[in-house]
Amino acid sequence: MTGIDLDELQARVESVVRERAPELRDPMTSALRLVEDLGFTSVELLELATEIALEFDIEPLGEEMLTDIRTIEDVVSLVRTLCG
Amino acid sequence: MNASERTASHSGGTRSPGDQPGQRRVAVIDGASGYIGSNLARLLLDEGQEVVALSRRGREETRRVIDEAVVARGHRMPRDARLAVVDYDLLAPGLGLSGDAGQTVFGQPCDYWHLAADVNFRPTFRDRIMAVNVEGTANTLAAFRALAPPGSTYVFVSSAYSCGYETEQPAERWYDDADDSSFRNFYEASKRRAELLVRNAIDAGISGVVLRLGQVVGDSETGRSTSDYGIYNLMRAVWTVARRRPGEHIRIEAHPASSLHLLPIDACVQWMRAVAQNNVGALSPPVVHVVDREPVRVGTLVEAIERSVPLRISVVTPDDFARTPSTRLERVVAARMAYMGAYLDAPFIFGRGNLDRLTEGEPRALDDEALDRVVSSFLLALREEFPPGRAADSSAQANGAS
Repeated sequence: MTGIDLDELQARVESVVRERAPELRDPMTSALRLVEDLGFTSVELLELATEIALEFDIEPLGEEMLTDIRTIEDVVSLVRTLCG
Repeated sequence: MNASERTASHSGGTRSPGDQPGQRRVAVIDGASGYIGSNLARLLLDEGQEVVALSRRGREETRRVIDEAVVARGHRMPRDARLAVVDYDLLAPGLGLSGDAGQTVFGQPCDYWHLAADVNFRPTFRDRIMAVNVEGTANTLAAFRALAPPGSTYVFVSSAYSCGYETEQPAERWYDDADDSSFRNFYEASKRRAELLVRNAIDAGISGVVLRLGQVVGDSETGRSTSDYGIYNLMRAVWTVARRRPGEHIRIEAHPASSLHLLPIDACVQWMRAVAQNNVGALSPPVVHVVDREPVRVGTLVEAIERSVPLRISVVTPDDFARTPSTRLERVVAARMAYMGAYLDAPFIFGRGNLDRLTEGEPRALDDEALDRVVSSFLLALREEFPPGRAADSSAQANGAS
């Protein structure tokens, strides 16, 4: 996947996160932390990583990538990088 | 062990030498709001035993979890259930119990069930896994030795997979310590190290036993489960793909004879209770594999999953898998299954002598029908929580429809 618009990418990431988040926040801002603010467990983070890979048709996110993801913004940045 | 040493009564309480037949003792359960802990607590409460639940989830939430335990099959907890919930800290000295709480927990001879654990297979969580599972066990042992009255018994709930890569007929014996490379993950390593702490305490004189459980799944009658581990991890991965890519074909890599010891939660807690009702001190060593007699073949499990999802799934050998380049979809699935997949590399046949010596009769195992119920009920719940069609509506959501 190439040439994706940043606003669209962010909206799609937020949409996936919103669907998977154990706890929702209003508003859903990109600075929200996945574990502390949205209640993701270790297993649920793996689930989110799978959803993101399928949503954007990209290679799976490795363990080392997951450890760097703290916020929704981090997910957006990572997907942006992987989408080229 | 002869028949006279067995305890047929279901009145509860681990038997130590000197106990009177029928004497009831309090069951102290840490990790009591977890999947196994809550179901064990509920079984014992339903049988009239007094239970002290150590939990960090608060009194109301812990009571709710035990009330809704799957082994109760929808029945409410008896009004006269003798349940006390006590807040504690696994990693604090003395478990963080204040004077009153300490009296509630250790005021009378007890069976102390140590179930609290971090069930996590992700490698980046090593420090946390070791802290909770090894230091936590050391803390409970220290508290037990300091505070539990004479006649109390310590029951450590471990994993049959603490054998690590020693998969050829793992036996009911103590394993030596080994470095991390001897295990599939840090969880297994942590359980081995915790077992050795229990061994040292038993050698030093406490009454204790180690129960090594197989992979615990849903109730054999209803199929219901609240677990997120093992095959549930696999089913979550499969459903995530199926809802977005229905009709696709994926291959899963597994040893041709690989099998899983799937233990229904109702059989699991019945066995745990039955073992604890006997004179575990007569076992040498006091290690019991709590596993089913017949493991489930991975192929059979995958066929059951396939019946509930719109995907074609093939189980192939590593050689066959390598012959054809994997698709991106297969790589996504493989990444999601990285930790569960490590258990598909060998047929496990656990030795089971002590369970047969201590217990009579066989609770319901996971036959094909029960396996179908376990799989289909979980996937149905997932389908309701995450309906199909996510891929189709994602662009609409991205355009503001969400």
